[in-house]
Amino acid sequence: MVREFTGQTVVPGEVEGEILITSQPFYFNWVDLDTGLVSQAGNELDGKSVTGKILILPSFKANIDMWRLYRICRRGNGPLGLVTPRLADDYMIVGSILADLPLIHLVTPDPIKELQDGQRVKMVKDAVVTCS
Amino acid sequence: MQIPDSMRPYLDGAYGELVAKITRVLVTLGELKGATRMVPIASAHTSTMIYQSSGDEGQDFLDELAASGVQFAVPTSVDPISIDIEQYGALGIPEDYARAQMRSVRAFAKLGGLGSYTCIPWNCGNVPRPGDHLAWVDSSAVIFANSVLGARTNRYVDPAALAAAITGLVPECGLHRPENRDADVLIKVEARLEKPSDFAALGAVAARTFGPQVYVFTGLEDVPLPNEVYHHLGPALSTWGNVALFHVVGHTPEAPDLESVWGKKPAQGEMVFTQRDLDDFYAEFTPAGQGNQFVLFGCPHCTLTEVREIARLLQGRRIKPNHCLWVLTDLYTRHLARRDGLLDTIEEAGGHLVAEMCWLLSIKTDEIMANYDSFASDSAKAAYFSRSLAMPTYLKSRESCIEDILE
Repeated sequence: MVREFTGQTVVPGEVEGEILITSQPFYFNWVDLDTGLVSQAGNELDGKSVTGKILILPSFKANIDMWRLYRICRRGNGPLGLVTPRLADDYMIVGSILADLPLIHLVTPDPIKELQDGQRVKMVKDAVVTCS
Repeated sequence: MQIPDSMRPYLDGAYGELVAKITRVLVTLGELKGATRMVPIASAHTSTMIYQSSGDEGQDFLDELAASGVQFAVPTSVDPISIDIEQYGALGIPEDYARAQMRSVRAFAKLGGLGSYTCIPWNCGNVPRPGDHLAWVDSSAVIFANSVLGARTNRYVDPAALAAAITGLVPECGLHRPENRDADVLIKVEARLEKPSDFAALGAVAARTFGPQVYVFTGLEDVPLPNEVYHHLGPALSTWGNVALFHVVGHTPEAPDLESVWGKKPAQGEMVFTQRDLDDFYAEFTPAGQGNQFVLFGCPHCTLTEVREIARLLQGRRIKPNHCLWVLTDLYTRHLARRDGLLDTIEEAGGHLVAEMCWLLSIKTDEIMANYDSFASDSAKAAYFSRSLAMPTYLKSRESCIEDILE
């Protein structure tokens, strides 16, 4: 069954891929620049790769995440797109534009609760749609 | 959003994709905040790709911007960087690290920037007037420009500030609009505040209680408030609660009296700041066991007045072995301090006068945290970040900070 989660496109772009979900503010300093792997003991994403994933997250953790995301993407190891149930802050918006990543915010119902790692979704204008 | 004709070429790619992209950043943020038009700015204050956080990619970014042929349209100053350009070697910063950071220093000069790397740009020639629209970054600089200078700026993010510096325009939203500048929270100061660190404590307690609002302070009408006091109050508010504007009745330009800024919109809170509040806050920042201590002044950068005061306290004294004192400032102030003999006094005591550098965004930060048992400062901003790095942290007056590490 295809499910649709509606939101507001901030940075336009249509992409389709596997999702990676984190329920806590994400710190891109945990991501290795050259491998895309998260390294942070105790974090739910520890050992996983953000590369090529549609990352679903509540927010960035710090303002320097903007540049870290840019660096990871410049090295070709970044995510495919960003999705948040919240209102994206300036750093997430600017980070997405700089890194050429589609961004949808204010997504409802909360995809962090409703979806699971590994599911495939498509980011379209003002919505995230699951792929059956 | 109405886009002025003068902005079109930047947005449409006449200067390449990077300029178009950062201009899009500026416009997108404005649209999301409900702006309907752009307004001209008097100056910009940006960051020039701090090497510690933006890396080689950040240096590439600024190189590409400088190579696109654009120039800053307004006076544009710049925040501290990851190195002290004149003495990185003496501080133990590796040559290749310094050379990497210098790429953006050269690019910034090519763009026509005011290259004095400081978080107090009004000390180095970027002095806004009341009512001026600005595009500034750095929460400490933004809150001073808004509150003490009476200029109007939101907290910009580097790429947006760079786009504003190049186009000379910002979206008219947030604190650019007069109706958003009235106070939401009233703080009545009962405690007797004397030292800059007392004002740092006031700002921290107020901001962590009420968060990102516009504040007005009363009860300070008869207290002298030189810039150095605001350098402690403002960054405490911005660090502890994302505050970007405050008023002090009888002092700051928009608050000749309380009625000018208070009572025009629903109040979000009121608080009396007592002597007890002040003492309790200092107690929170009095960990057990000093050990080998790193003392930091200049977050934000010290003025010459502060450097002179620090030199006076160090005159003829010596810092204990295995302790360390850094005094951060701008290049202009260090040159004057050298000429006036203050630099010699600080160095003879065993301290360092470090220019143009941010202690928190450098290769030295981890080393400082690893090599010392505790950290002390008179700055609530420095104390906040030190403690967030799990370091036992003291907030004390400047006098106590120095006295406690002298032989």
